[in-house]
Amino acid sequence: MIGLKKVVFIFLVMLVGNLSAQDCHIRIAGQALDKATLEPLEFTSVAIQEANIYVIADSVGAYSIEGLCPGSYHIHVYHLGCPSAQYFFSIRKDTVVNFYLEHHDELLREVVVESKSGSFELANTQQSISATAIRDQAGESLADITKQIAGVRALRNGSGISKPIIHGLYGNRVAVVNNGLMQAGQQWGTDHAPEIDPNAANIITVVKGADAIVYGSQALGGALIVEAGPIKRDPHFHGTLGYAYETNGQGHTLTGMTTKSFTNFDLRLTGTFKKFGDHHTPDYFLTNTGTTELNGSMQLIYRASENVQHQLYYSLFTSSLGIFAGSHISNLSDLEEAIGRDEPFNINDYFSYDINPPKQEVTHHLLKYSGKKFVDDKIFMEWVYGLQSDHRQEYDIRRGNRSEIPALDLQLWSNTIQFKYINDQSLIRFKIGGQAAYTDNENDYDTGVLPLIPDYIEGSLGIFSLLQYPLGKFILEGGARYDLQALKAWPISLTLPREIVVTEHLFHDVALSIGGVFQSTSDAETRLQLAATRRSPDPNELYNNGLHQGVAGIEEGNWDLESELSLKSILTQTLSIPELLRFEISLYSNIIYRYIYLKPEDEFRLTIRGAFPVYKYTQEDAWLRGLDMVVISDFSHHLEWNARFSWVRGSTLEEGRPLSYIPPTYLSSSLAWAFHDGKKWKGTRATIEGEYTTMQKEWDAESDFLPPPEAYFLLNLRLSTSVKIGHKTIYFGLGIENLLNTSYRDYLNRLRYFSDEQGINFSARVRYEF
Amino acid sequence: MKSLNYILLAFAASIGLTSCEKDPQVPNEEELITTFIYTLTPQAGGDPVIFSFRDLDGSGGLEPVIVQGRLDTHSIYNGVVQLLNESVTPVIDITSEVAAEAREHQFFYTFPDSNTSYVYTDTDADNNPIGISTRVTTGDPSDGLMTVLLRHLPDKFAAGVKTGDITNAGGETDIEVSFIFEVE
Repeated sequence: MIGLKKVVFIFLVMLVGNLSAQDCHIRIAGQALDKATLEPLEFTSVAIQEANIYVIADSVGAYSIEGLCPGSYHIHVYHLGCPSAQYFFSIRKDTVVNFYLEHHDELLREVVVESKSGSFELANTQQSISATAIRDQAGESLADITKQIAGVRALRNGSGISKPIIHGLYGNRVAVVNNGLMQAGQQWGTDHAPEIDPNAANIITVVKGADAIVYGSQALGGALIVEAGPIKRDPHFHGTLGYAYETNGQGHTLTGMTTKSFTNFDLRLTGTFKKFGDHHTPDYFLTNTGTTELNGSMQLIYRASENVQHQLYYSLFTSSLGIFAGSHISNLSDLEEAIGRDEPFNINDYFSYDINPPKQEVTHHLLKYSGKKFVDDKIFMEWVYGLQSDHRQEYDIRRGNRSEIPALDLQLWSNTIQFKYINDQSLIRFKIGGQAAYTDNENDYDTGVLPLIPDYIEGSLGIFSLLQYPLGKFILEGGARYDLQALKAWPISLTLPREIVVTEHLFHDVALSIGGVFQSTSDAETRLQLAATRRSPDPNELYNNGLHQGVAGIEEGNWDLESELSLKSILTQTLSIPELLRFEISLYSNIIYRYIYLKPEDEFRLTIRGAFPVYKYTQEDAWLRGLDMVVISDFSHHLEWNARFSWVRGSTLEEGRPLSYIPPTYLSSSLAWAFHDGKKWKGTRATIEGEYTTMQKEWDAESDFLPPPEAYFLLNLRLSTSVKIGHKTIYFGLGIENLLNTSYRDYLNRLRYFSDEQGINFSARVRYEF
Repeated sequence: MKSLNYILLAFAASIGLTSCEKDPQVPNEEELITTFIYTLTPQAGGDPVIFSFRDLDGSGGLEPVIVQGRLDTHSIYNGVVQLLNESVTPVIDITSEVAAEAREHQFFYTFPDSNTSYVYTDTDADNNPIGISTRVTTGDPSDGLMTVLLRHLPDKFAAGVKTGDITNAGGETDIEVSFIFEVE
């Protein structure tokens, strides 16, 4: 597993001492502590850059530095096995500074995003991935990065397209929240990935539980939250510059990020350039699986006063990606032929960066203004306006020089306003808020092809409230939400003569959640959450109509769909034995009434291209249940063992027919060795990881063409280290994925009918932090 | 649902828009093939035999109209394929589009049994067959299915493809139609 690095989150607490300041006799002192257990972190190093002072804390984490002049300083804090963290603040008099370092943050702990208030988050079932972990995987897609969280897998469509599966649910049931805004893109198909650059994010959070209620009806199965996060108040330019190279696909990824603080402004800029060519299985090239991405973002925070701040955020995502040439089929006999082959059709025996049709080109703009006003330290309100534009063009191999004309050309505009009020001070802490959104989706009709998804406009309104009531060792919480969705669409009839039909839909949905946390000791915590949420059908489920070529099936929407109702319960038990072990087990059950899925009809439709199976969006009660487990163990300060296990089942409630794309059972285990820090070289680690995926034995022969692929085992290796040059750090990473060069196919990859997965991949990463 | 319009209008108004109407068009599906006609003219003279498949609504639910004919035993026929898009006016002749991209297309024919055989009588610039025109030779009586496939971007140089064996052709099927085929 990738995220083994101990990631540090440092919370800085400044307590101002009472001794008067004298010139260059200022003393700062304090202690380094584990944030979770409050245990001292011995021998933490603390360095003050400007004064060129370097001290090492004692065995109880205490340090002291004397002889400082009044002024502003960069302070570097470093603990064994963790990347160093850097802070900047002004010192006028003797000061106590405690560093709270948190271990294993990305796996077991939530992250407090609201900076000033320390705002409460529900005792939620959510996990985050930190900036360091994101940068350590530069080049990977958003969904692939989130895969390291237990219970999260990725549904893929070849090398370049992947989207997260949370507890067995994906697509329309997983909300993707991009910097506080619901990502408005064309993500309805499994062949569409979220249009987000993970390198612009500093925190990626996966929400699996009831607290997804904040994000609305789309979050029935959970939410993926991507955030730029707060900007460090430091008047100098700081940031990172990284480059990654991967042999499989000969991929180059260049990423950069910089922040700077002015008197009233904080600024962050990010940029990513990514270019991959054809990937390679152990035996052949996956022709036309290249990707090119060019992304950028700008975040500007204006601190109008002590209590009011305004923020402007803009991000651009552009991508062009090829669809594997060997998966290009147009009817059932093509599919059958392709399935039976050892080596796919249409592949080249050489590498190329070329991206030819079939291919996708996507441009996504996101512009957001938000304002925040603190009424009190722990009471604030926030208002947001967001504008998004998503342009998706999909090209096919066509006759008569039409390959340069997109076969699908969609332009989506989305406007959002949001309001939130958080009171973290009263006896019953609460959060209330609302969102209104207006979405306009339009086809370009010069494609010459009937659109799979029609023109539509959608208005939605949501209001929610969350309460939390601490009661001794218990914390009780509850939430409620109301959603209204109004939809008007202009589908084109499949009958002749073709005509535009106007349809309207209106949905009301109510969601409720209750939960509780019981912390018996600081080392054991039990969480229980129950949630009843509803999801109204999405435009593709209502109006999809036509031939889905890549799957050789005719898909039909259903105007009579009603909202789904999900009853989800999650029981989580966390245990930790200080200095030895942390363990988390999570059991869940999710009954979804009127679960919407594509059901094969008892009909083959005869067309001039042959006979096609017909799939219609149907509703049936379904039941998903599963189990996630994580163990992290520090045998010593040098050796760390980590294991993850997830098991999930999904079937219809009455007949027990398996649902499609339920992740097979997954087990991963890794062993990491942290070397002694040298004078210059620090944080050197070697990790070996094994991943075992079983064969999905629960599958429905009626909705699939082929039994799921066999179980497989992958072995990965990683080495990382860093070197300090002056006060800057350079990080190096080497990795080998699929070390044994195993030939395998993955049930969660739609292209498993056509080709094997990628073979061995060597990656090299270098990152300069300044 | 008048009220829905008001609701949408309210949303639109909340962000400064004043309309919630759209004016979509029906795309011009000029690439669509609706009609396949295979005309077999006896070399010895006589009325041509016609096999045709008409599916005007593409992937819509309308049943295609299929016309099939009967061939004589021990005869030679000259076969010609015609492809049309009859969903638009004027009707588009797709055969010429295929002929213009002859190297990227090939028709494949299968007959019920070995009593009936065919050869290609046209070639592309690489001297590979296209299959718009063919010569069909019948023998003893036979009865079964005839299937015609049009492949876009097949590998015409792959083994057997030149002689009409589809196994190694690859590519994407643009047409796949079957007819009841009788020789008596």
